[in-house]
Amino acid sequence: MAIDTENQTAANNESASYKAMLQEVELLVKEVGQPDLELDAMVGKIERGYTLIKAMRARLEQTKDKVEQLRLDFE
Amino acid sequence: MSIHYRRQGSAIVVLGNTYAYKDQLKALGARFNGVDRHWRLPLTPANLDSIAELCANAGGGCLESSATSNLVIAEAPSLPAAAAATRALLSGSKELTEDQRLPEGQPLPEDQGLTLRQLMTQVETAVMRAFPKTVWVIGEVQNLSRRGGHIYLDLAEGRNDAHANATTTVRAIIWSSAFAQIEARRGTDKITEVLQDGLQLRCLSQVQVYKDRGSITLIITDIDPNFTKGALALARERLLKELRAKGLDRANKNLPLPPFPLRLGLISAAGSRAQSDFLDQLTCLKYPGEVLFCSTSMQGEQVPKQVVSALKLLMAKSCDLIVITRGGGSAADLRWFDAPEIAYAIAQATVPVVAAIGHHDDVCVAEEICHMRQKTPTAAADYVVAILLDTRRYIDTIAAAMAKTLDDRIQAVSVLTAALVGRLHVAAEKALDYRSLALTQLGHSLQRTAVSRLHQAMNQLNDYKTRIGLGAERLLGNFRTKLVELMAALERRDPTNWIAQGWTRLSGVQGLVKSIAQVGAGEILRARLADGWLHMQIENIEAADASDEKQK
Repeated sequence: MAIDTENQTAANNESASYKAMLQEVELLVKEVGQPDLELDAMVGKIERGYTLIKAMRARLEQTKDKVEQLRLDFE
Repeated sequence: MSIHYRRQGSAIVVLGNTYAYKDQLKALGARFNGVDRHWRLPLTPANLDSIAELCANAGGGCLESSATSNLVIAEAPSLPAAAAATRALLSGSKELTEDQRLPEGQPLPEDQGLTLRQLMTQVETAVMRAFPKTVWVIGEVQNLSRRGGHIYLDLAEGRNDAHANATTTVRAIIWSSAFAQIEARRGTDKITEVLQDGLQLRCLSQVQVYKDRGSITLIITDIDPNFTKGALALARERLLKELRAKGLDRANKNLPLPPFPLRLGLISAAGSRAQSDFLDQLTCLKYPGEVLFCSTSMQGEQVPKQVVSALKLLMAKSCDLIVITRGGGSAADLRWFDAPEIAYAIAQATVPVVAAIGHHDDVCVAEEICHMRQKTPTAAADYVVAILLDTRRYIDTIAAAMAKTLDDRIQAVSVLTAALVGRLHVAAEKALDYRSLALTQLGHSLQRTAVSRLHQAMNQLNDYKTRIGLGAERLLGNFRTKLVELMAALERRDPTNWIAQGWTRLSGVQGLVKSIAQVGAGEILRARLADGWLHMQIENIEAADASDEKQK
């Protein structure tokens, strides 16, 4: 049971971090659109946005691979 | 299956095991009374003869009470010697002796009385005159015994007076010769059945006075076994009617059978064939439970009390089922199980009671009342085991149904699970595709926003640039204008032209001299000319006056 709790906690953490990244990117998009944003800050935010998107894409690929593996194990 | 009849008012009442004869009774015009459970038909000589014949053929007979039939004098088929002598005496063929005869019509002297012998002689005479022939007598058999081939018994009748246990009792004798004749005429089995303590007996008797003992003795010459059976049947019917009226006839039958009768109570005689047959059959059928045996008498007056005690004891021991069993016997032997105590105990029992009390055609009250009647102890054992087998079959049926239901459910769940797996996979792919698309869109959105923002900045820069250009031009223009003005001013202030026209500018030690006040005599001044400077020294200073000022 303890192990299941840990796995569930890890899954929750992963879901939470993916969700946090997504929220951050959405926030960045809004901030970049602000007219009073400094150009230097804007560049930094855009860079941060692309970094997060790249990380989330990698996470999606991992999830896809895992789902496929689960299906193969089940069959 | 015997049936009996009696006269009741203007009707003939037929009772007993009448079901087999119902068609014949109906043909005679009889109608069945469901409450009293007997047949009634009009009392006519023809009906009476028909019914008497029918009952006799069925092993029954008349149930007339002593009040109506006791005075019917019947010829004795044959009498033993003593009775023959008595008959001779009555027929007057023999003279009475002196001590047997009292002169008639002569009053007793006042100071004298009858001797006992005289008294008993008169009693004997009176009895002989009252009962010149044999008479049918009804009483309860008590203290039955056999000695020397003769049978000795008491006939008793209870009295409804102050003394509840008071009875009228008369000694009776069946001489061995008479007994042999009775057995030959009626059948040994039938006679044996009815000659038992406690049974009502109708017997053809010669009333005999034993003068020496001052007692009356009945010399029995014949017995009516059908009367006893009828009395038993009547008592049985009465009790059953009473139980039906109270709703107790089906009380034990309505008890639910235990599905697992693993604790049996057995009431029987210890060491009896019934006990061994029952237990042996259980063993043969591999009965898995336990049997609690309660030994009781199966015959005699103590049967009701002992059986009731045994029932209570076994119920207290939490038996699932109680079996009462005894071996086969005569109908009279079964009469103990017609006792109200046993009937009520079974009716009020909290446990089903199975009765296997003999395999006689007559059914005793205990068997009528119990949950199930079985003909033999072996059949009772079969019945008990059959309950277990039925339960097992039921369980097997239920288990099979459950297994099939489970299989069906598993099959349905398997199909559902397979569908769910497919749907899960599709859902997972969709979810991932959706998220991937969302990320792409986010990226595009980010890019669009960034580009838009850059465009905004660029536009702003261009705007600034334009504004700066315009500003610079304007500024330059202003500067140019200013410069031109300054140049003009400068030109206006340039003394060269004035100098060329002969004017000069004087400069002293303190700079430009514009007033005579600034200089003093002897001071060196410089005068600018178009082609050089003059150094001059002041010799004299003269102030200008007002007329010079007006000319200027």
